[in-house]
Amino acid sequence: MNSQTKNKRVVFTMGGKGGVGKTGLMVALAEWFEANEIPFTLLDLDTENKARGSLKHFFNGSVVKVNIHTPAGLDAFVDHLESGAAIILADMGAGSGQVASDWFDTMYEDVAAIGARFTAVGVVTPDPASVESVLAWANRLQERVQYLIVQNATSPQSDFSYWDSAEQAVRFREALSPIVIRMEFRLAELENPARQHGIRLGQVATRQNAINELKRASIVMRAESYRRRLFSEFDRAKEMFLP
Amino acid sequence: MEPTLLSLLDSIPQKPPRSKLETHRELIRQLRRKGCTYRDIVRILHERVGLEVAVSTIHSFVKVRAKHRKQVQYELPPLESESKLISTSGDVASRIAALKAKPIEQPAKPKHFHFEESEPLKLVSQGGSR
Repeated sequence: MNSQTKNKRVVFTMGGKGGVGKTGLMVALAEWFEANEIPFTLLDLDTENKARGSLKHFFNGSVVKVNIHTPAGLDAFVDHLESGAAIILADMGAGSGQVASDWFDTMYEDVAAIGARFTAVGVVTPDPASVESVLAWANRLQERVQYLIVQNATSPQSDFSYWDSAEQAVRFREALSPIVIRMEFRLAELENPARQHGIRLGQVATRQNAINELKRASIVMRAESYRRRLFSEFDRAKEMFLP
Repeated sequence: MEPTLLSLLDSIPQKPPRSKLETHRELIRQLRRKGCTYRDIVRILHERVGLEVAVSTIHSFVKVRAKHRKQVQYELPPLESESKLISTSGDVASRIAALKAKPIEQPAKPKHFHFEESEPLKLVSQGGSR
């Protein structure tokens, strides 16, 4: 390991519960880095995710697909930190908690000692299972990472009672001081075709896509304003994303 | 070696070590061989030797010397006088110190946050599970 590994940041999704919006969040975060002209390396560690829902579906050739269910676990972090950009964005799949926990138990001390820092991104929805999933990961990772919690509104009137008021979630916030940001509800007319065709918000906002239903003025404007507000949330948490 | 060159060598004074870790080189090497992490070594140096040092400093020190050792090993045969130095009493003493200082078992760090996965979430406002 050489000094190139110093001052690096790995941002990874806590991949416990499927379908909460982890990949959508990572796609948007990658766009935020692009908008700020900061280079990053994208790792798709979600071996279970179908092609259409995966990070690779949105970024194709610029994403490295990694199978973490091997004895080496998350060693891809180390290799890419050594030779890649200063920032790694890694999308973990559902059910990757044990692999991540084992890897942190055996590798964290030495990786952290050479200057790599970790941000664990947890996406919570009104579904209590999403909150339980984040808390279970935090129970394993403890203070070895910084925590960013994204409240993903899956409906116009999303109720985050379990995240806001569950005793266990309160204790998590008190003990590990996560930064909390919001991802607002997206209209199905924008979200569904974008996911179906692997089109990013920025490509809708700038009409850089070939999908007619995503070129409607109202959809373009929605994409622009949604993107602006989400980027504003990312700006608020920027310390969690930078080396 | 030629007598003139030996006399030249003698005339050049020994430079002092550039790193404050130099005097603890053998201890650090033995600790690494026993599986201690850089963080463990920092703690041992602090607690047993009273030396404050950053983890990154230990890392650089170890890496630089490892590289140097490799060069010496491949480019030059060990000098006779150097090979005799390997088992000096000071060296053994530092090995004994390293062995004594080696942590036998790392006690589990106290958790700052505990979550019982088998228990349902309890809403504070309702005072019970839901």
